[in-house]
Amino acid sequence: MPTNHIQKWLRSTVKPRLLAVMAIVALATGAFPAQASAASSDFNIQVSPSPLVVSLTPGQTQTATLTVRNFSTHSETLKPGISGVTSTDGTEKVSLTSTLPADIGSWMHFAPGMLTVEPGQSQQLTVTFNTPANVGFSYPVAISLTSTRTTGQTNTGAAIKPQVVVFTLININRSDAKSGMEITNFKSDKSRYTFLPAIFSVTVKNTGNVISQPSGTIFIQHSASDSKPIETIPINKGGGYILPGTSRTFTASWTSGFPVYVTGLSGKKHLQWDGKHLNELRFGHYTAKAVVLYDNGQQDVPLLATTTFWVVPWWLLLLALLVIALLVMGMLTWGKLLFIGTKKVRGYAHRKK
Amino acid sequence: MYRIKNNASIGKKASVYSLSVIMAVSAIVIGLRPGVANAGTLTQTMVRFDRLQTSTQTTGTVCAKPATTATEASVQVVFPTGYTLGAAGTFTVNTTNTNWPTGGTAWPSIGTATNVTTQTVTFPSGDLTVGTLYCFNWASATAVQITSSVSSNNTGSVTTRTSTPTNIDTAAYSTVSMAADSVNVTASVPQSFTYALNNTSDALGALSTGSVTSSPSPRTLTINTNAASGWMVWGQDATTGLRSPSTSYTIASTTPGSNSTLSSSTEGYNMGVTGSQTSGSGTVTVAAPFVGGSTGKGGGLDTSLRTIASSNGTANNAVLTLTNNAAISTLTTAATDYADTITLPAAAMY
Repeated sequence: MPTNHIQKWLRSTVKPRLLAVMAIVALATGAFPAQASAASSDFNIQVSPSPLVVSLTPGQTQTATLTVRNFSTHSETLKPGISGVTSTDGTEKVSLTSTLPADIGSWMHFAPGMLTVEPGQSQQLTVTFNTPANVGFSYPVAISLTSTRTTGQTNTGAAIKPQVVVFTLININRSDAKSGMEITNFKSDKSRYTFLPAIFSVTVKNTGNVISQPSGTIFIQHSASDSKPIETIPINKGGGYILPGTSRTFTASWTSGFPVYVTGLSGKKHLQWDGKHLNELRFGHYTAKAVVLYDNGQQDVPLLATTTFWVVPWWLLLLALLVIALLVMGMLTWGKLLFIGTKKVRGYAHRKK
Repeated sequence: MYRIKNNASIGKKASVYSLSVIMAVSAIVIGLRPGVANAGTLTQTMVRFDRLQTSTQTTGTVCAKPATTATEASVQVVFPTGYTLGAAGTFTVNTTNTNWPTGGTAWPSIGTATNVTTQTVTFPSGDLTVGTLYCFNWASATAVQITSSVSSNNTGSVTTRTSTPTNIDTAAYSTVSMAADSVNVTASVPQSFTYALNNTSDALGALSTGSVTSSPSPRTLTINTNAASGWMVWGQDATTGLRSPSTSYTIASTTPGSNSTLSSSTEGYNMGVTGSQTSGSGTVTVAAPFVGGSTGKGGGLDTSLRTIASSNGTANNAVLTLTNNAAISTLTTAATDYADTITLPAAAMY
């Protein structure tokens, strides 16, 4: 009895379990090499903050920290380095160069010299600035973190070396450092709109010798002297910086209108008729007043520029006129009919008398 | 008879009209006279608020250049409607030159305010010289708080007065109030930048004269960033083409800096790029020389760092698909070790 029972129990219980275990082992062994091969050749690194903005005092040693996180499934060793940054005025083109300003490589150092980050972990890279007493006023440089892994590309093909770059904007606190900006251009993309949005671009030039971060607002008003704006639109909401001697163009849109053009998922523009914004039907002559602020070290300095434009929803107006005309004509016709009818009734009544 | 009566009536009407005109002109003249007699216009006026953010307490500067010869004893500053003012005692002053306008000199005998009535603050003043720009600062931020409404035109005035007091010179000024100013810009969420490459090698296999060989599995570079200024990716090739170390022969990159389409039997090497993005405020733009999308189309890389693609805003899964294309001619040196190293730096923009 026991023998048969045991055999039955083994067949009914152990066998399925054994099969399950074997299946898991097979899956695991099958999956593992694939995971390992994919894991060894990918790269997935996050850096923060990016860009890194520092304000240094001449003759002092200061540090800044970069946090590096490894999102891949294998450890990654990164080699920190520095390169120069050039920005061409007018084109906003940024290039990396091997030329470093102010011999910065001799007074900017990294610890550790090689950064190994385990999978899923974060590591801090300390950037030390031994700022000489005679440098100034500002330097844009780039910290690069280059993967040290060899790609194993042996036959015909390309090895791709990923490199994470962190722009580092350095201002030197000197008494003769000068903040200065000017608005060189402020315009709307059209002088006449049928419907919103109206897109504005404001070009700001850094005339000082330090890296600056302007902010500002575009006030939409009926006239430049209005104290209560119809709408306010932020300028440089993203907190972009401008390098000395270069310009940057910020764009902003006035979108609160009825109806308003919106871009669909397909990328095509269409009119959106949202009844909730019925009170935002725009019509007439408008003034856009750009107020750009920068900090000169002691106070906010406002810069002003204005531009004007028209919003004339002409076909909506034509449609409204047509409707009004039809209504008037209808009323006149009805009036006439009523008048004739009344006259006839009166005549009939008169005749009856 | 009727004519005489009518003429008399016209005469009466004319006298009434004339009288009305005379009275109106007199009223205007009388109305204007006190202004003309009592207050000239300050040649130059400035009231500068050190902070312009709404509902923010601020220090500031008052400057004025007198136009009329008189003996000043006080100056009244009218702050814009909506600005909250402290008691007179909070309007302490100094004459430290804090980026005053060119020519600004210390306001003589300026002192702590003696009176605050609604929006008007009265400061004691010494005698001023016509044509000189005088300035002083109110030194305590508790004295003035910017209005809670944003506006590009908050108006007030500055008036110099005699001891009587009679107005000497006056002028209006305008200032702005902003939702956020440039001082103390802080970010609670730091900007981060994530760079992912799905594979660091791209084997092309055996090249043939019969066709252009493209990456069998184009590599993808994925960017995620909350940097509102966008991102940029550059590229460079250490050997300006596929180089065979064993034969010292290079299948050179095709016209670096311009877009090209390789054709079979003509030796060449380039990289084509296409871009897409799940979401984000930025628009992915592939640099013209590297625009790909069809077999053999792309741009050559050399030892210069060339911009490959960029975006002007945040990115959620911005993907660049990188396809390497190679073609050989019948004269291309045979070797099995044609390779190069492409470096792809990428950064969040500032």
